[in-house]
Amino acid sequence: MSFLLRLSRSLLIAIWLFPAFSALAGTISVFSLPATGTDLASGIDSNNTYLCALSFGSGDKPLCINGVPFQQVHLNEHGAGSDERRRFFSGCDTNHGGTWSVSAAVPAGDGFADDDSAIGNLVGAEVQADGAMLSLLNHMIFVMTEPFDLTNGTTIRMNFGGLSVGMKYSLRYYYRQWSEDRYINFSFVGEGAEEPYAGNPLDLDAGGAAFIEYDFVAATNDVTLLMKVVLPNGPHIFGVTLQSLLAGTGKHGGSKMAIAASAPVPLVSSAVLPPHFGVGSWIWASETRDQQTCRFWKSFVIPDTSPVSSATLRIAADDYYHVFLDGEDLGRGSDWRILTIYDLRLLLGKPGTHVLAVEGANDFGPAGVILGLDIQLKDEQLIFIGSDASWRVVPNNERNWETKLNASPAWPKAKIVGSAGASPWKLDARDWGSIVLNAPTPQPVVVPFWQQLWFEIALFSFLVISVAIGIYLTGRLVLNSKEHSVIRRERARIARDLHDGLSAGLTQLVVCGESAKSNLHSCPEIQPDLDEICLKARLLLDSLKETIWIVNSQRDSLRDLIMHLCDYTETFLKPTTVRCRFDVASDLPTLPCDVGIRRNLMLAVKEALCNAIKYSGASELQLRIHWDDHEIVVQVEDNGKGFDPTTANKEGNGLINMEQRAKDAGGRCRVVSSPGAGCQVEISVPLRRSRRFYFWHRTPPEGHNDQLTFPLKASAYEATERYRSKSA
Amino acid sequence: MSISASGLATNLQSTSVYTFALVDDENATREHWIKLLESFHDFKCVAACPTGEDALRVIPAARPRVILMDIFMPGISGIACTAQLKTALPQTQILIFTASDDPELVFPALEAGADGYLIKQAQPAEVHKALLGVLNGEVPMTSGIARRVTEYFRKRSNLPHQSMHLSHREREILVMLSKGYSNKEIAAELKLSITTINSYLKNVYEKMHVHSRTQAVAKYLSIPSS
Repeated sequence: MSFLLRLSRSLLIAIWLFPAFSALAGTISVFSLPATGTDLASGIDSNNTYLCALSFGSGDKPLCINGVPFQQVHLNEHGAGSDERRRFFSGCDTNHGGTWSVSAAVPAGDGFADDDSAIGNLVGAEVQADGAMLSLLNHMIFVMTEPFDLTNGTTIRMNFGGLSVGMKYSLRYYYRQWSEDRYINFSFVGEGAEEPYAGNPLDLDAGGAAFIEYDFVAATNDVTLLMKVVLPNGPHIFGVTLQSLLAGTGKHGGSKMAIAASAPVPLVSSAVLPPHFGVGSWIWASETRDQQTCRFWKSFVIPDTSPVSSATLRIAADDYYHVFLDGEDLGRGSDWRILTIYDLRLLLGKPGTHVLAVEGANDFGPAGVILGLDIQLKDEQLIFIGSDASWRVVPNNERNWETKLNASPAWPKAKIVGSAGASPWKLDARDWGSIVLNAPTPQPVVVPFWQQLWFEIALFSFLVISVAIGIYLTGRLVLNSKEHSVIRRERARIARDLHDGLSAGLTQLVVCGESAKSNLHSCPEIQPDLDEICLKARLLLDSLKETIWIVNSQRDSLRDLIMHLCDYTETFLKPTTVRCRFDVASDLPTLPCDVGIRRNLMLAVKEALCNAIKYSGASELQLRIHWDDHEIVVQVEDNGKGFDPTTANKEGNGLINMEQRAKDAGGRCRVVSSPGAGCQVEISVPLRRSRRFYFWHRTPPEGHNDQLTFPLKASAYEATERYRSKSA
Repeated sequence: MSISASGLATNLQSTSVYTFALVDDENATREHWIKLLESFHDFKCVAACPTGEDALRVIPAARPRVILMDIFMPGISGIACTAQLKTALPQTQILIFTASDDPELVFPALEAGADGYLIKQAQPAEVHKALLGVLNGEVPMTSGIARRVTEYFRKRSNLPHQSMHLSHREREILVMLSKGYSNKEIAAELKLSITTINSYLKNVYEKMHVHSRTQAVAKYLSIPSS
């Protein structure tokens, strides 16, 4: 079904291609204007886009027809400072921007002249035209010669510039009847070659007012009107307009219409193409060899004025081809007999420059590539690209040639090696080009955003950055945890060494001392010294025990800290008369507890206990420990005599010390007391889950800033008291 | 010090001599303590061993009333040695004899079957008193140890055997101990005799030993114990 549709469409294209190409590109027609309502019928319309609107002759009033201003072109009879008439004039239409020139091939001394007297001589001008058109047609120039015998064959040339190549224009020459027969051969050059009016010679004095119109697609930046004099009476030049047909309506009046306004007009015109093939000529490089690869390149522009309604590529090659559009692989073929048809509508959706690239290969013998691409726009315009000598041959070592938007000047032009359907590419039994293969319609490659370059670059950068950060953090973590584990191991080792060495040695010292004491009943004078030795050694042992507990990394947990606080308090209060009560919450979390926190909290509690024993005179002391929203809260409460915290000597009673310890542990200390109401010391320290992942902390938090001092001195007082009281 | 001084048995017969064994890797410590304890005349050393292996070989034959056991020794530790000796000599009191009274070190030994603990640097008289107390049925338990025992049973509260759980009274006594009440205070509060309290505490230790032995067997048979 789709094949039939495509076939019928190809046929339709071929049908309308035929007249368009067989009648050459430009169209020349003559239109008659009515004697009344001439302005309206002139087709001059302010909705049109003009490059030139020129009124020739010596008229002095500014002329405006249907809102279109006309530039008055006044050509002097004599050149400045000279009696000679001038043969060449040029100027610029200041209203519309186009440039113009008028020249006549006459001898020096002859040239153009205004003719104002014509108005007086005019017979029946008012029955030929009215309105502003009448004014336009009453002033004119003509060529004066001495004597007035403008000979046959003299050519007057009018040239207009400022055109865009490939755009459609209309050049109109307005004239009216004079008094004598004037036969002129009109021809136009707008599309490269001179195109004569089919009705030549045109009799300008045939009657009434008229204009000759040349519709064309600009091949160059200018268009030329040639008037060759057939009878000695030369032409009068009244008025000329040059308008762009793309932007305007192009409508005009007149009694006959040579072409339908809606007929498609080619935008890019190649060499003459056999319309029933829809392709150009066979092309190849300047020389043909066996085992040769040849690359052909051509760029073309799709205007942004209208979307593409269809685009068909026909291609064949002897022996192989590989075709690309904008670098995208369309397909391959390998039989010159078969014309492969590609529907490129989906690939040519965007206006702008596109590149068609073909790589041809030859096994042996003759070689050639033939193709044609016709693109129809929605506004009926046509772009046709056929294989011709304008194609460039790309050297085989060129990279990315199939996507290059501009041809290098070094690339040679392709050579036409044969025409379609002609020998050597000619079939015996049937016409070449009748064997058609429809290739699957190439779809535009939809690149999802994750495959697009910007995304990949962004993703890649993101990955690189992530990996870098990951490596950095992992490195820091590894170093950190390595450091941690090294420190932990070292601390455990120190604790063990202290225990095994110092502690064991001191224990032996004590035992030796006791042993010596038991042996020395006979020497009572040595007894106090031995007692002192044993006492000091026991003091050292107690201090050492504290130190070992603090240093030992195996005790770095909240549970150990709390158990130790209780054990310490129990041991501390045992020799005294103060009763000790514990209130320890059973739902304490299992958390690691840094040595700094442990030590400072321990010392703060110790300070609180010392204060209670030394100053309070209490009979009972409560140690309360509970967990309160990420904080460990330790309360030491006595029922002693209390004090007024505002007047207390902080220096002496260790309150400052306690606060400092709590602060060093990262927490705070609160003392509530009043005379006669006991004292409550509350130390609360926030604890985090794990400090290990807080590696972005530049400075280690609480505790580390404090040097690890051994609590030998701190406990000396209490321990001495304890042992003295015990031995007493 | 470590052993509660309260409730010390006073009616000791001066004629009875208690046999004891000492396990310690320090020669000097062994010699000194044997001398110091024997100087009290009611204690006699029947075995002195430098290692746990030696102790396992010698002590069961010597059948002492009480064993003083160091923890850190070359070879098997005092804790492992205690567990094995307690199986061989269930009637013998084993006291951990260590340089540190850190309950964290001592508790595993109690769990393994030790009946109490002493520290080496204590005054000889104090050690003597504590030994007599243990021999007279006193069960040493400080509030620190009581806290750990409570914790121990809480952790194993899902054990299948009801007999291994603490009774209400036992728990009550443990909680009071861990709050810092002395045996005497508990006796007054609960209207029990100190002897009764000691027997409750003895029961608690006994359950703990059963646990640890069950665990040891379970470990041996590769059966999950709980």
